[in-house]
Amino acid sequence: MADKQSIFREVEDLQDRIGIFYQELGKIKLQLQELIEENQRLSLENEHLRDRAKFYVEEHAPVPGEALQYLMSLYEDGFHICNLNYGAMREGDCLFCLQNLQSRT
Amino acid sequence: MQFVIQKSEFLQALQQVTKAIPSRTPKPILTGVLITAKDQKLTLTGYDLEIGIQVDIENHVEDGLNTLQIEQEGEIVLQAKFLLEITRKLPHSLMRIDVQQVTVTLQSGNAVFQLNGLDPREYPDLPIVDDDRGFVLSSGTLKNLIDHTSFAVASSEVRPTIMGVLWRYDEGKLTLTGTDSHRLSKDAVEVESQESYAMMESIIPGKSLQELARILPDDEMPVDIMIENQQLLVTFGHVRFLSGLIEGTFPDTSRIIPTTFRTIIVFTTDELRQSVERADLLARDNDNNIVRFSMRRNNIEIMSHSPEIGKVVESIDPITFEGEDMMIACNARYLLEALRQSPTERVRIEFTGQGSPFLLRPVGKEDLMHLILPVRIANL
Repeated sequence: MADKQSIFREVEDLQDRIGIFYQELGKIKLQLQELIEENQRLSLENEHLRDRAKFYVEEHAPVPGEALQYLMSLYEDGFHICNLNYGAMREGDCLFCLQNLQSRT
Repeated sequence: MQFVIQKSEFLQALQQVTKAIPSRTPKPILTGVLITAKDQKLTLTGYDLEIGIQVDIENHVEDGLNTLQIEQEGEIVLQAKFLLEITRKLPHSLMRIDVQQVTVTLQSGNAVFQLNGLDPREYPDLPIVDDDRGFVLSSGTLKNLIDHTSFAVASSEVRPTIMGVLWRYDEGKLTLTGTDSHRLSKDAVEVESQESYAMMESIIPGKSLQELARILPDDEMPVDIMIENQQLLVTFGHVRFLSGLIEGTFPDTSRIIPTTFRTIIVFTTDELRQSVERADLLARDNDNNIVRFSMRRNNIEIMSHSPEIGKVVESIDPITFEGEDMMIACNARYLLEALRQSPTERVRIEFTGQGSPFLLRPVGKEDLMHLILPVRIANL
């Protein structure tokens, strides 16, 4: 008799757990749905951005030597541009920075 | 431990090892000198964890007397500063050291010092450098190589790799390069390596090299050089000198050295040096030690001025002058240091332009060169 009681209790327990499981499944399904929607939205946005980027690149082609100009002005402003200590404050001219500039011209 | 030794021998060795003994250190045991008596040999060791110097003393007979007699082996650490001062002032030509535990009795003539030693077991072990490969140079040659390059290294810790001198061994040639990013000095020598040494590059701290140059004798004594296991080991006579290396990559300097020149002038080294020294008297007061050179064919002038003190103009006769007229300004200290490390009678200076580095080469010693970056100034 005690055995039957325990089987019944186990089945009852199982039923409870299946209930919880079912609820969680529901929640995950909702989250999945949200993710799918977000993914769709992002791919669309990405596509638009690519279009605009392409448009931008075509309109503003890079000026040759722009990087060099940038490095030169950084150097003139008193910063190291050599890989020894890039960006550090410079005291006097630096052989390595000048080498760096020279190799790019 | 117990031994009797001639004072002069002990003092000489002690003076050599104290070059590596720090006066202030977080590890008090390092302010001491480690004295080891073993196998009829006395070894003194000084070590600051960066530089280590070991000197062996062996017995020999002088005027019919033994210079060293070890009666009992052992080791002890003694305060180097005090030991050095005491040894200098000892009354007799012989001294006797007797160690019981860590109490040291130092006797010479009628003077008896009782000194508290330190436990030698606390003294750190020196790194072991053991390699079949290496080179041999004469002491004088090595000293010159170091003197010609180590003065140019950077002193600020911002860029650790250029605080050292680059040693590059390639195809039988050893080249040393030192730079602080404003100037660069380079010297080379042909060496025979014992084993077929592959290409090697190591950065050795400028400070260590300067200490090494100080204890290297000026003669032809052969010096063994070994670089292994992040350590440099230099052995000459009874002295072993150890130094750690600087880890990292030395910047590429191959493209810094100009190859085309607009003006080439040859000077008498001493004359130029003395003129620059005079100009430097006033340049010292301005910001960058600036001296100016106005170089016209047959009329070269060196000038410097200080707004508060005054100015100086001196004309100097070149030996030869090739190329265009040029105006240049540079730091007098860099120029003077390079001239002082130019061991020949004449120097050739090769200019490329106001904003480009110029080369100073001792005539007849083509491996040695000094490179200096001029200072750009508006109203030349």
